[in-house]
Amino acid sequence: MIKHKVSPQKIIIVFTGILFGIFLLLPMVTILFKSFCEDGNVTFKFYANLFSDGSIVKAFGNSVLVSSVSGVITTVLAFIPAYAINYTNINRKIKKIISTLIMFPMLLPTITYGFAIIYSFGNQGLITKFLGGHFVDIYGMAGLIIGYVIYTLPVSFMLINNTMGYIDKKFMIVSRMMGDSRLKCFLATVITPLISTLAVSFIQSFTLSFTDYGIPAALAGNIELLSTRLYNEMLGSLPDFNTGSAVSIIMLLPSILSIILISVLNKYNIRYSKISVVELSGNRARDIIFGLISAVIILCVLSVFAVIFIVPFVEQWPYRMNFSLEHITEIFSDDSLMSVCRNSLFVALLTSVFGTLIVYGTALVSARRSEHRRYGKLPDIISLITNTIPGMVLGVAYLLCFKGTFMHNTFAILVICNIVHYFSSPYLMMKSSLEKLNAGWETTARLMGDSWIKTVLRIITPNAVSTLFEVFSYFFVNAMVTVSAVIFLASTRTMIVTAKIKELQHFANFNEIFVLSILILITNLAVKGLVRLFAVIQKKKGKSI
Amino acid sequence: MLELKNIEKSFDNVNVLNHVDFSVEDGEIVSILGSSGSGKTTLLNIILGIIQPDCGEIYFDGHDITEVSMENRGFNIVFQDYALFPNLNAYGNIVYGLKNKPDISTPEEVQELIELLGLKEHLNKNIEQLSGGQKQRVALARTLVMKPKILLLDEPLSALDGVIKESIKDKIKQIAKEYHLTTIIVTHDPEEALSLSDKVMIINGGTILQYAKPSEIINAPSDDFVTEFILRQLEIKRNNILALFGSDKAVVV
Amino acid sequence: MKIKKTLSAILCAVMVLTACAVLWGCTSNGNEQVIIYSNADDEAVESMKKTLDANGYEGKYVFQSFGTSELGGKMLAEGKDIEADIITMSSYYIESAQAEYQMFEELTFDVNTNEEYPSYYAPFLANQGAILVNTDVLSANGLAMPTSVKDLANPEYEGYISVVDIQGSSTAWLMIQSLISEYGEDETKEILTDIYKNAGAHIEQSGSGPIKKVRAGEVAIGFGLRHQAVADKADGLPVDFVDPTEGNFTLTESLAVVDKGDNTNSLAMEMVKCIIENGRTDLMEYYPVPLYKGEIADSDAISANSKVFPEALTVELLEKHRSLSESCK
Repeated sequence: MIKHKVSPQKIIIVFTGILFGIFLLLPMVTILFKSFCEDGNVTFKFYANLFSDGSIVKAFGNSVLVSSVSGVITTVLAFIPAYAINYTNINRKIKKIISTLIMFPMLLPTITYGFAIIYSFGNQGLITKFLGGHFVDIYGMAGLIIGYVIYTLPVSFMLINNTMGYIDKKFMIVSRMMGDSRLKCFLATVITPLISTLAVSFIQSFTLSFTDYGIPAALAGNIELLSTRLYNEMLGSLPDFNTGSAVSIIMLLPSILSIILISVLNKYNIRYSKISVVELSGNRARDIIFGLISAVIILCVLSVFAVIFIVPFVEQWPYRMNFSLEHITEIFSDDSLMSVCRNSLFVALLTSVFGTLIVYGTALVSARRSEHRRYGKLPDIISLITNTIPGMVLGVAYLLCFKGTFMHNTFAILVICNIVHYFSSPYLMMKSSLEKLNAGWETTARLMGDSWIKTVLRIITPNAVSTLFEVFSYFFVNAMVTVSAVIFLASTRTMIVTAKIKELQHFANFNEIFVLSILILITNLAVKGLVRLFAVIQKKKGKSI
Repeated sequence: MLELKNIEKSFDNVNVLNHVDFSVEDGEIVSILGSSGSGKTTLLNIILGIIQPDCGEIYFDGHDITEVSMENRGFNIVFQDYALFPNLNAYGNIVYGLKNKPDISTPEEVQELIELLGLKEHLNKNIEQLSGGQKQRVALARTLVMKPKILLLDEPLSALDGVIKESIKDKIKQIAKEYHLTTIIVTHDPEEALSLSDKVMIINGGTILQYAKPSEIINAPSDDFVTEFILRQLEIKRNNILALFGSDKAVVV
Repeated sequence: MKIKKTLSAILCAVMVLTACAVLWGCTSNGNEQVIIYSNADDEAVESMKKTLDANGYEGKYVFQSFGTSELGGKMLAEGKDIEADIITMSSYYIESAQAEYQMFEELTFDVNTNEEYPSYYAPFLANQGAILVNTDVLSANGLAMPTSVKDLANPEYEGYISVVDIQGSSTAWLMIQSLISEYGEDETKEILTDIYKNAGAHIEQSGSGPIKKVRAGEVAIGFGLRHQAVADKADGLPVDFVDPTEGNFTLTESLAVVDKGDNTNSLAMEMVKCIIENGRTDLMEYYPVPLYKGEIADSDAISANSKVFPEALTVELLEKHRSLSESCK
């Protein structure tokens, strides 16, 4: 039975091990090394320097403060539409619209949010004008918080909505039968089972904000954050890679802490053995109130982005407000901008093709029952590690590790960076989907004379197609919108849209910034649309046979 | 003839099988009866070749097959949940193995099987459109196309109800007889085991308690466990049913 | 199963093709377009592109824009390993990078400049600082028109001004030079502290930050590049400029060819020559400071009060002024 032939599972795992060894372990070791070593000697100098003038403490404090406030606001705001979807009798179609529209910001790079906020809430901003007055100072805390809330709302909503969907609503009836008051019933049957998810939502939103560079790039004003500090240490006027490494390590710590916290909290998640479908009690007032607030939240988010579709189509914002296609035609005839778009598309496609293959391969090993399953521990560990490493830190680590090698300034490094950066979620998605497929298929097919590869192609793949497409679109959309890691890695020949937007910021070319953002949005919508279409066709095909 | 000699297996230092020693004659239907954790599934997996015993040997027709891989043993199995491939229709499932070994069954033989199992009108159906009994029969057909030397059935009736259960029982008996096919069934249900098989092996805590014909087990239980848990259960069932029909009719049966 | 086979064949083909594409991306470094790293403004880049295109170099080069500090950082960090073949950058940065790495080639053609410059770069434009004003916002808020940089420290302007952070862009240096040369370092510190207080969140990292905010009406007054305000004013926007009493200081931007040994792209030197010989007239329209012999500035377009900082401009001096500026925040 034990044949000394190299199995495909082993090849996948060895390949994955080498890939992540070179592109995850090595860069992270390099960055740690860089932050503690000078001329071969161990030194705490770089940390000491950072802490001596107190600026890093202040930057850290600022980052923690804005991220926490954003985390709280996001979680509260995300709760409302999630509640509207799970606990009210609002029309199903409206629920569908709410849960779709709230995801909208995910399709745009965070660097766009910042500029959209400036042109919405600034002195001459769209919303400021609409409301007839300047009511919030967006440069600094307020702007950052608005940006972060918009950025993290979709993730927070997904988390809360998901858990709410798995709460057994029957307990509400039991609680009311037992004579609980409405408030007590709400606390006992909605809030209590949600508590750990609410905490996870806060932490998740905190971490995302804490490590984001796109929003502060536009809105930080004179507030120094850890992310802007890191950028300046690496790509500022006087780059200091050692100190930059030390800042990276400091940025990494809260990330690690939050991942540990989340995994602990997830253990406290209340699991219901069974979800019963319960007719919710009729309460028009509740439905209307939650429906309205949800609509307002979504409108607020979308209105911030409205400006993207207006500014480039106006001759000269805000003075000559007549409609004009001048900017659009100009941008589309600018070959250098168009080649940047092509580059982004290229990188996103490669990221999603190879990312999907790697995720699928590793998930097959770790999710499916076989004598090789123990090797699946490796992708599990990789997924855990990649989840803790912020994009900026990864980007800095790559810059340090691959500077001057043949990988420097290539598309390959962008693609690999994206795959490593975004490995975790699609891997877990793929794994849990594969675990749900019948465990006996491989054995059965093997007894019918299939090799493992054959079974994967003939049986597993056709049944995992919809998840494969989801994974594909996850990689694609994220590769299109990511800023934080690639900002350190994109070069002239490999310039991609998000890095270009950062560059255009220097010249205040908002028309270009917004048009490029629209292009990203359209591309992402197109890919999502195609994936959806494919899923529908697949479903129909399944039904009709 | 299949012979298992002194098979032992433990997982993480927990002994799952102890000195398991038995043989199955060609064409026999044998049931392995035990509750969950008794070791019956491990035993099945060892016969099939999914897992290796820690010690002991397995012989088939006099050859030592202990080291032979699962796919080369030539046995086959129908899983409890059938493991049908949902991306293929019923027919696609049935002829799945022919893609790899085109000569193993002739088209006539396949047709014959389809007839025997009454699947003709379901061939173009999707897996989700099939009832539990139909799924079971498709899975059986798919396996039989491969002409297994031994047919293993993992809880073949547990997912079925009432009348369908009885008809599948008949089919299994019919197939074993018609194809002279050695059939090993794993089950936790004494009624199923005793009414379906030529011989029944009762296993508990990884040890064989009794391996005999159903009548012997009823009449001469070897062990307290067999009496307490297997026979008592059947008696209670019998009494309940008798009470339903009135005791006088029971005498006739 | 035929379809399945074709499908997997197609899948394999796609994978091979994409793999090839990646390899192409990795290897397409030699014998390619000339890469030009530039910290210059849009107008300057456009003008250089126009000149190159008109002289047969269309499609043979790529411009990559940076902020001054970012490009400066990249030069200091990467030296000769830098991706660029040509760099257009503030002259003092080019000098410092040359001193550190010897990374630029000697020019192979003669430059006919008004003043003496090192032999490895050719200046192509000069930037002048000035005070920028949004006349609408100024009058709407009843603010007085400033006349000097020092005026910007006046508390009445709190929240109405935008200046550049010297950490982010050397445009800020034009302002700090004018203050130090007029008032000395100690008084400059006091003035800067008040100016930063007035600017609050409008301390910009990019040199074009203030003009952007003045133009958009986000602030009433800014300190930035003179020519930008001139252009906006000519364009009919409510933007004007003030030449401060401290004088208008100037920074030159220059072109230099990166010395990559045998890998040096031969077209790079030709392009630099082309820009200097054919592009100046066009550049002068935006950046009217004369640099080469025979050039004459339009009297309106250049400040009558142009001044030069007494010390030589170097990265070390910039660093000194940078820490002075930091201490005022």
